[in-house]
Amino acid sequence: MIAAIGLFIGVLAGLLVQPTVPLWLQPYLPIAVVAALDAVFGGLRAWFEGVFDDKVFVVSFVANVVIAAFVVFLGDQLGVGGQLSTGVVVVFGIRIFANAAAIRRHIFHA
Amino acid sequence: MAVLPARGAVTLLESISADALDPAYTEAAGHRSERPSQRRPAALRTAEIMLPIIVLGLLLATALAQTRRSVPDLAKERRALALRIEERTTRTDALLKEVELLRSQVAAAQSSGLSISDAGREKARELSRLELAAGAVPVTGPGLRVVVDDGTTSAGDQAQDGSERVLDTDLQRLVNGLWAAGAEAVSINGQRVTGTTAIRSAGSAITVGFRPVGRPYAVEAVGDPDEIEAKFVDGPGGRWFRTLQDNYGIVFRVSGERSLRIPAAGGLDVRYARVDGPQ
Repeated sequence: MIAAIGLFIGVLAGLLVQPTVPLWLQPYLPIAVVAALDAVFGGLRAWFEGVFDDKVFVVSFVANVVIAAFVVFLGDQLGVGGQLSTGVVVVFGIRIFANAAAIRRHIFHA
Repeated sequence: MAVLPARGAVTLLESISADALDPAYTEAAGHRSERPSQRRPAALRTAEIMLPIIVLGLLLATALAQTRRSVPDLAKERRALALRIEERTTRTDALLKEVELLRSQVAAAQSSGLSISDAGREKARELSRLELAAGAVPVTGPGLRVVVDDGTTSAGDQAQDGSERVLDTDLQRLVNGLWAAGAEAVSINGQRVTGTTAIRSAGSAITVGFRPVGRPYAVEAVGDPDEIEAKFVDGPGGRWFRTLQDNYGIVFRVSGERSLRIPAAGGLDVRYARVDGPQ
């Protein structure tokens, strides 16, 4: 419940304020979004499995976003930014799907 | 309690999906069950859940807005550029008309001034001959019209790789071939080509005298009607385009014309050369 309210507040604030992202940050925004989504899906699954821990959630969220952005930044400096961001998206994509499947099993028992 | 990766997770991809649930969660749950008394205040825990979720919403909305915003921006920029090009082209056309008008006035004043004396009339004849050669005056006469255009490959527009397009160097060869065949005045799409006119490509477009010309390219040349066609078609220019026609499907049509009108050249500036000797 609080999660839904939080998401609502966040999206609303983003749409209302429309913050302009500085140019140097723009390539990392989509990666940060995917990393954040992964952390949230992980937290949701932990919730359903009864092992949710808010501290782990916060730490994994922040670490995911920061490390994903940093890896892509590093890739940019080495000239493989595009490939590395593809790699990051693939890894997070697999994790999101696996977690979403686990959540689905918990909700529908199927 | 340390959580090891799931058994049987052999490959990297398998381990990613097997460890999808952060092992830290189960670890923390283990710690909690060992010391159930250590629970933190509820307000802090709510904040710790809310904050990341709010940040996620913010990120999502920002990324979405960013993506949606940048698409119409690009289209707008493109339109603005196209508009500016059109505007400048019409302005150049108007200025060229003005140049032609002023030039005819100058010519009229010149001929009336020169017709006073015999020496002046002699000069006037020389001048008109030079003007004709330099491309300073519009000319009419019989000659040749060569139309060239990009070819179409049999597989349709998708399979085009650029080899069936007419290039600036092709047009250069064409014009040089016409000069070699005895052309006295040449124009491309109604633009006079003189000895100093540049034919070059700008991006994927071809410019003649720094003004863009569109396809198909109609090259007209005034010259001896009995000779120019045969000389051109058998000369280097004609041979080159027959090769292009056979190998790349480029359109190449030559027709003799009874009367062609070729306009004066736009810019005839000599930038560095000065007349030698006493004036």
